[in-house]
Amino acid sequence: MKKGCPVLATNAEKTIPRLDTIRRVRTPEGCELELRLAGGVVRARAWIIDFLLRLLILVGCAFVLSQIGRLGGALLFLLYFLLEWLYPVVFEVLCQGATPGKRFSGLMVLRDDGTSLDWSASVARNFLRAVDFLPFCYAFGLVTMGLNRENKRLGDLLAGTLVVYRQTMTAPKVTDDDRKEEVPPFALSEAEQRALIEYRLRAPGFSRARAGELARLASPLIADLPPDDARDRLIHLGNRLLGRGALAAKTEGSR
Amino acid sequence: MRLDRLELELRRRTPWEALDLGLGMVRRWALPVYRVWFLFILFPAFLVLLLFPENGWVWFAVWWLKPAADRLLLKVFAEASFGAPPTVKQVWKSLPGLLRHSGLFSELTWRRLSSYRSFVLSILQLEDQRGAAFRKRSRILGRKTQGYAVWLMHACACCLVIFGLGLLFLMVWLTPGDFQEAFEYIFSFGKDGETSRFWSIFFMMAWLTAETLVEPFYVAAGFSLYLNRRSDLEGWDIEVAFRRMQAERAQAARPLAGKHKGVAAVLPALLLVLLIGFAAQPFAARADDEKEDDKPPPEKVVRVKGEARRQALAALAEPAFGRVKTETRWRWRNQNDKEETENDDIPDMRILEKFFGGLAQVVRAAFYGLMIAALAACVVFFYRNRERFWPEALPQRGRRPETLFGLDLRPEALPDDIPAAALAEAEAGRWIAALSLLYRGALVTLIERDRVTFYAGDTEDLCLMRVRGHVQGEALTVFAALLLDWKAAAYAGRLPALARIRALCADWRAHFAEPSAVGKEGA
Repeated sequence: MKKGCPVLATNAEKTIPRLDTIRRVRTPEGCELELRLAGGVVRARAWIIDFLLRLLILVGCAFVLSQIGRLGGALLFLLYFLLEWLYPVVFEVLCQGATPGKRFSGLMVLRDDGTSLDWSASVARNFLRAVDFLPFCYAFGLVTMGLNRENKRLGDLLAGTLVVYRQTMTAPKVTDDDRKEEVPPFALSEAEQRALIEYRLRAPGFSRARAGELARLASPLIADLPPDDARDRLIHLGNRLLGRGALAAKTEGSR
Repeated sequence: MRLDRLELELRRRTPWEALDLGLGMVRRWALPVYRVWFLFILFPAFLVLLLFPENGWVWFAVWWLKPAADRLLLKVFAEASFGAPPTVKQVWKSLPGLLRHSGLFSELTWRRLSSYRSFVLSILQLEDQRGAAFRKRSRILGRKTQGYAVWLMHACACCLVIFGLGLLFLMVWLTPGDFQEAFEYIFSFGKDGETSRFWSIFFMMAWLTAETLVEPFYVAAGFSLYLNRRSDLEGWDIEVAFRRMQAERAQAARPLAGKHKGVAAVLPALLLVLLIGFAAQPFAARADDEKEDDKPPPEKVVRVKGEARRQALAALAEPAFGRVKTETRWRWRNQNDKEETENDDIPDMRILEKFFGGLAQVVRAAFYGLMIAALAACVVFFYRNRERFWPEALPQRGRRPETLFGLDLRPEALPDDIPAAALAEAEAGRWIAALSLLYRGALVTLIERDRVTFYAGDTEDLCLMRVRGHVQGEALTVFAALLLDWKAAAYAGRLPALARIRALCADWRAHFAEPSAVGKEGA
């Protein structure tokens, strides 16, 4: 218990926030959104997928267009031009801020304030690829991404856009069917509830010893139970918070 | 392990996000990391390569020894993550231990080409696992993470190539001459002594620069991947949350227990103390001030202690209370600064300054003068040409000229009955006066009745042209005939016969008579 006190003091007084890759955006309504910024490796992966897709389209069309001689060659060049410049713009504006590669990698592009992309922003960020690409294969873009907190390349800086992960973090599924519930001995704060739910969801994945060890840390909730019982107790508390199990069903019915 | 000291936010992350966090780590701990990087890794590598710039084997050896460098970087990242980035001295002291007890041998031999080197490095170096235990451990930790480690490795390799070639292209572009020439230089590598030496050193710099940009990220991302996996497996975020709950409940419970017991007994005493406290407040405050004068000023922002202070600080740390922003802007230098710098100047410069200052004043004055003159010119121009620009604005009467080409057109200068007067003049022998009278009368009528506009410079023929369209048929021929006679008389001195004048007078009366009365009325 004594160990805990200085912990809190250091946390509260710390001026530098802990390192994370989240950008918090406050909407006019006062909601706080957490945008999970995407970094270089995923974005490079998304780009490679897009690149291969474009290559595939181009090769496919080359086969067809080669049948009509020199006109086909001209058309192929036009197609190449359009693919190179308009492919990302069109997809980002019309398909919820994601080219196929970005969609596959779970990414999307948003504006700095978390609103969706419009034509001008998309055109700005994608046409500046020409500069990001210099002097060789996005070297400037990569360096720029390293130099600012939000992993923006030059195009993103110009257009005021962010590349973020599309999905909110999915919680692991509960696979066991322990549905017993217990009522917590005191009102839990939001953070405590979150921690309990998190424990409930992930405890089956921990080793038995670790799960017990963790449960023992929640001493106000488990009093002096041995580790295994403590674990079960926390799982039951978590069940209640998650609203799964017989007790929840009963109270629902009585209402 | 003190998880509460971890400077990384603990939460569930996808492995991709863990890789992104690696970039964040490089950014935050750039100073301690690059300090070590430049001193212990880059500098020796640079020296060695400089000694043997053209020996491929040396290059290969330096590249092969990269795992040794990774160990130093990992040490910095690992300790910085727990809030204590090592100093250069600490790293130097730990150097022998790091090289001997971190599984370096295996990494330099059969594991050198492994695709998840930076991920596995943490198990070797931080957990100190070897042999079967290491294999088991890396199997467990790598189960959901290995694929991402491979992605990381390939991304970093690509970045190396990109940055290296990028620098090369930049160099080629910035070299005077055309591309072909520059490329020929490059590919004469090894043939021509001087150029080959230049390019091999250039390639070396490019490679080392690329490594500088990539390697710290590679190590940090591998470490972050490892941390993320362990946090996921062991519930680190849950541990921190539970510890916090423990501490908060304990702290909340302690003062409450004391209060509840004694509240009834303490209450009257408390009131008394409060009253006295109010009375004594000024003195107390002064005493406080005096005390503060002796000591160096403590933190002035928050003076409350204990729980309240903790809560206040926690509240202030929330994002709702804004954030610190650094703004840079230009401002004028202080006048004092300027004088100081001026004192150092040699006097010549001051004269120059005065001269140019005066010149600037003159130019400014000239400019203003020019502007005023231009404005005045505009006003005059528009005033002079007001008829052309605003014909409607002038009153109709005002348009009636008093004289035209030297002829007096004022109505009062004309007799009432012009044909009669003209005939009288003609009979008296003053032919010119008679014709002039008729002509002027006709003009006045045309101006008054037919709204014909004449200008001061109009000739007789121009007058005829202007009249055309305003006056039809007989009247026009009469006017033309009158003009012809007038011209003949006035300019050629050929006088018409008296009968002709009579006929003119009769015609005049028929076509121009009535409105001369209008002219009279106006006058």
